[in-house]
Amino acid sequence: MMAPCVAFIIIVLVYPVSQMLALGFHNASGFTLAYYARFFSSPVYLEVLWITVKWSAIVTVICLVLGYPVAYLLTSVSPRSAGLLLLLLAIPLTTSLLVRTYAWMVILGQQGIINKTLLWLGLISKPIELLHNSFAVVVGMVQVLVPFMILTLTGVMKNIDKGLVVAARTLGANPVRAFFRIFVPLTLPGIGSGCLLVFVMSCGYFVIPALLGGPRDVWISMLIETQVNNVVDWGFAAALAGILLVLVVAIFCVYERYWGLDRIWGGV
Amino acid sequence: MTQQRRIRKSSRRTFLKSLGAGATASAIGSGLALHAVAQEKNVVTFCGWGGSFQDYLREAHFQPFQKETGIKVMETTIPSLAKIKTMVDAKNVDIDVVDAGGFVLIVLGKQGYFEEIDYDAIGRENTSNLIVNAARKYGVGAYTASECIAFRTDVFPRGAHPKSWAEFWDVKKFPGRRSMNGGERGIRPNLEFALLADGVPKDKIYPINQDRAWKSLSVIKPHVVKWWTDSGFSSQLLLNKEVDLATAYNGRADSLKMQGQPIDVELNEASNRMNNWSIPKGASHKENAMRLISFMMRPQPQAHLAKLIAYGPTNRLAFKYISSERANDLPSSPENDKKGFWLSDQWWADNADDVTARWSKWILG
Repeated sequence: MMAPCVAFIIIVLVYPVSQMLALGFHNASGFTLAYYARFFSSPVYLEVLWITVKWSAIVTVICLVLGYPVAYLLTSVSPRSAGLLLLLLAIPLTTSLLVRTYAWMVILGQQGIINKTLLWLGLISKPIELLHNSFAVVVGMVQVLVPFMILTLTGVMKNIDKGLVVAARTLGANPVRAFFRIFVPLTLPGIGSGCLLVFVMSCGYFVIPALLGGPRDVWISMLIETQVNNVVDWGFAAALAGILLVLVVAIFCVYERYWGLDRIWGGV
Repeated sequence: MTQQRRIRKSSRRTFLKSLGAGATASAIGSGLALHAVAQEKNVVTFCGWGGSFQDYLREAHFQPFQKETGIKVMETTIPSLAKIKTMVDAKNVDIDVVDAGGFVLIVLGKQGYFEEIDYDAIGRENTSNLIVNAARKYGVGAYTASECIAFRTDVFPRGAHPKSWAEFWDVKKFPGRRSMNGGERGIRPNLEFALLADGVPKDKIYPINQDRAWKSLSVIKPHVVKWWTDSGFSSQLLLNKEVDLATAYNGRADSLKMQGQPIDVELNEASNRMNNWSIPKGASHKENAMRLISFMMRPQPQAHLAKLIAYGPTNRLAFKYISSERANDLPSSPENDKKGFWLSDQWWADNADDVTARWSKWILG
């Protein structure tokens, strides 16, 4: 049963990715580690990697804080309302990423809705800088990634026996205590999977930092794009992609070690 | 649209016929469609940069060509260096004519990724009237474009606008938010602009003194709110009042001006460049490709294109069909040719990795 699926993944994922990675290990004179040496010898490239990881982590935390209550709501309301809420969550996913990114440019710009409103209310005297900085990148990334956090958390929350919270209440815990001591710990696998998913996806984003970011918002994906199309140094591009891949796989391994990857889609 | 639909339809037919045989992973998306077209005879597939410019190419070049020869022009978009390289390497060349920038032409031409241009097919009259450097081995100059100063006329009325790079750099006399070409897509010709701003004469730009150029660029850095990544982006930033001044492609900005938007361009000290029509090595309709290219090198279609968008002809004879008023907007007109300078694709091809590495360091510093 699994064979066609495995074959498909090998053909369209494993084979091309390994071909691509191989580019990072050889040049005209054969096997080389020069591309990797170049990455680690320059503080600039490490800084770009750090920018990518740092902002991805921030995006992940914000997605968790915003997504958790929504996921809780989804599992507490009637199935009909939950269906409606899920639909609302899914609609943005059907819109092109580029369109959503451009929409943020319209909202956050100097002449955007927010600045116009604040000016009209007299709260500011000249437009504030909302676009083309790290703030705009975080806003754009969170909007795109928060549904993945919510869906992952919902999967885990659905399987939690709400009776446990009720039991805690009857044993004398107040609602806050029952929630934080009983419910939240039970959702930890969901929190782990949601964060892993959002963080990993975030690390590879290109369009949002490129369009919404400021001069200092250089993510590793942008560096890769420059090497592929502009400098035509595919070996170095492959090395950059390899480093990003190793980072992501390492995070997966840590997760697998402590939580188990089978829980990622909400299985218990 | 109808052409795309046609491609899709015929692809389905071919796909059903060859199901199981030719269906590989690379056949996803347009690759499959074009693969089917590659089997047909009376067609030629063009790959351009899309957007309204490709609409203008269709009107000025493809439709008249199709009418005259009966050869159908299929279209696809984004002939990036990576795409051409991958396609030729895989020996699966389903594109016959590409719009190649000078940089791509140098890098890939040298490595044998393009067919040689047949100047006999273009004809002696048109070939001998090409502007300087337009007749190259692996591509023929298609149209000229300028990267220049673009400004909002509600902030800087025409006449009171920055007319040189020194003035663009002068934030006291010309206060305002600025945008320039960003490093992710190559920062040419910012280094040239920086040198001009610093007082280097136009004929002394190359070879670029990088230390001096970067130092000059650092002066303007704090006033650049966005380093744009795509040529349409800078015009959009001006249109949205996100910035007051920008480096932009003259054609895009001129189109906005023609639509009545408060945007104008200054062609003084503009960086002129030429894009090229090239044939990827092993193209399946090489003969049709050469016919399309020689058609596009004729003066009338070139003049027609220049009317639709302010990119200049490469065939001097085209100016016979262009009003002198319109010629003022075109980079390759004799007048504007004197105002600007020609970007050295060769310098950039030789220095791209060094500049890119310095750029990353500079922008984060």
